[in-house]
Amino acid sequence: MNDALHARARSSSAAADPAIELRQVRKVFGESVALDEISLDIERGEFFSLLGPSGCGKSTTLNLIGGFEAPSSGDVRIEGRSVAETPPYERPVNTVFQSYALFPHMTVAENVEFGLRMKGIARAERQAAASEMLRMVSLEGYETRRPAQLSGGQRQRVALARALVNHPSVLLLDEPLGALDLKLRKQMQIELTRLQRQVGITFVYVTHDQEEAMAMSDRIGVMNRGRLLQVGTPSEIYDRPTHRFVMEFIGAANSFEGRLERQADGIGAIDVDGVGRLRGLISGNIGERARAALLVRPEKVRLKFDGRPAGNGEIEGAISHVSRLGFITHYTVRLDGGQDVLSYRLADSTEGDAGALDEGRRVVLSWKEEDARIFRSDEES
Amino acid sequence: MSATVLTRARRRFGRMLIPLCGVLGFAFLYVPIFFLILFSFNDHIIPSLPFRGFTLEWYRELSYDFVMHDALYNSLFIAFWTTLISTTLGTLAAFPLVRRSYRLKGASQLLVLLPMIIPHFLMGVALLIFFSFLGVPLSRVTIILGHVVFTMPFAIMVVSARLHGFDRTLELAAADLGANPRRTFFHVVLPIIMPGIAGAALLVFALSMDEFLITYFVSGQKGTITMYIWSLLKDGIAPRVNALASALLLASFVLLLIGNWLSSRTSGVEARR
Repeated sequence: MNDALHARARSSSAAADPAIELRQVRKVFGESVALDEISLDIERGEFFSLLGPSGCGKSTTLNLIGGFEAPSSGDVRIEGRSVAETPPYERPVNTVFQSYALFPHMTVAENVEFGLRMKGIARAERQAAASEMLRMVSLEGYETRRPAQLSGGQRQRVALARALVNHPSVLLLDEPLGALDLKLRKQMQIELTRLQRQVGITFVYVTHDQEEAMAMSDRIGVMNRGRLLQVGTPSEIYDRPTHRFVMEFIGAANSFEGRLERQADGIGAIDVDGVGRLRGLISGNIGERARAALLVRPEKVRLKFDGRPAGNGEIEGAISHVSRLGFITHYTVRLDGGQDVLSYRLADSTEGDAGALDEGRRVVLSWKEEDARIFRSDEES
Repeated sequence: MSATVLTRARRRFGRMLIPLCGVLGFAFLYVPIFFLILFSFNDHIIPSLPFRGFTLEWYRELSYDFVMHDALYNSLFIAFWTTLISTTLGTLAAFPLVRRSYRLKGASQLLVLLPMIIPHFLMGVALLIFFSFLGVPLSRVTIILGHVVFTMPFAIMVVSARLHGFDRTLELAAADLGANPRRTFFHVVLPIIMPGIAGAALLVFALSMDEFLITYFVSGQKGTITMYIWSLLKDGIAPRVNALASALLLASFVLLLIGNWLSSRTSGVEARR
């Protein structure tokens, strides 16, 4: 009866509170600011990735959630409960470490059972749970092996099983695929997302690999220099980046520097020396005549090889390099001002005469103004 | 043509040189011990060539040498307590010496290892003066204290080496899986550094059993086996000493095998970090 009440109380709070809440979290190491006022909600059951270059603060964020570091200021909450005073061994969170950190003196089964053993669960029960979990990560039959006898990919699975067997509220993964080769990494990406759907546990995944984050995540938080720049679904982050850094870090982008001239409906134009006037969507607050950068993704840049530029944002250049990557072809176009612009086209594209687009050929480049973005060019990150 | 013969000869000599050095080196190490063991079975009162015939007389003599039995018991008693105290304190000391950063860390690391190079003769005199200054009566306790002083640096060094290679992420992983600091120590840290601790214990035990000078200065009524051998030698070389030494050698050898076996059992640990 009491238990039932308790369970209901828990589940009602479960519906209300996000899995993880960070509130104005700051972390300072001596002089350097590792995290600058990070606020973030991670919903339950979500596959959330923290993406950024090394040293951006993503691993520090993970350590704050895991309890391996304490915030200098601000609050960390797990399922609505502040964990500022909670040591790692009392948090409902488990971690898959980058180096896996398997216990070398224990067998695979003993490794997986460790968390349950610490909780005081009886031997038979934890053995059953461990072998169930090992089956889930396709490692049945490996119970009595030692970590040293396993391959990198197998160790990775043991680390996963060891964490997941405890049914944590949140699973933290710190670049878990970093040590694996490309093929195995792709395979594990698929397996990890499958596993996450299957167990329904919130995953917080730290990576510097934007493709990995895009492929696996429900939402991504992009970080740079201790700041959280943008949080959104993979397509939001890719199609509607709010910062120049986000646009350049995820996918490729051509950039042009110039001064902004504001026009109507959020569309601006910048004057680029030797290129002309280019138009795109304005992101954020930029003053009139301020220095700005216009960015456009290569796959949004259209190539035409007939006629002259019609003004209106069209620019002219000559193809300087072609790399055919199979289903897609990368064209590098040198503008008359000397700048290189990348354009991607599907190889079977019937638009224009693909065969005629060879090096040295003069072409006209253009894009839809809503496909280009204008950012402040003095933007730090 | 003669040049090629010469180079060939030289090359052959070169190929032989290293094995030859090896053989000579091992001979230098083991021939004296071989003769020591050989003469323990020699049927003559003076342990020297020629070999007069095989006998177990000297071993039989040892078996009813009750002074020797007492001395051996004392040595084992002292070595046991020295090993226990030195290894425990050495392990405890190794943690801050390896892991913490504090002022004068370099100096303290140096000071901790210094007793290894202080001559035992000096240390024996110093301890004797110290104990008599404090009015501590000389006994097996003072011998144990003396042995702890000179063996602890070895214990610290062996355990430190193991601790240096310890991946501290394992401790984070244990904490992450719900182990508090105490359980992390007993379930993760201790088992992984255990080969180091066992190695330290074996070394300390051997050093203690072997020690003569410090023991000589700080012993009271009860002597150790090394002191007993010394007293026998004062009356000339007796084959009984050979027998005793051979028996001790056998014991050391068995101990070494046990140590090897223990560390090979944990060799799965060695393979990765």
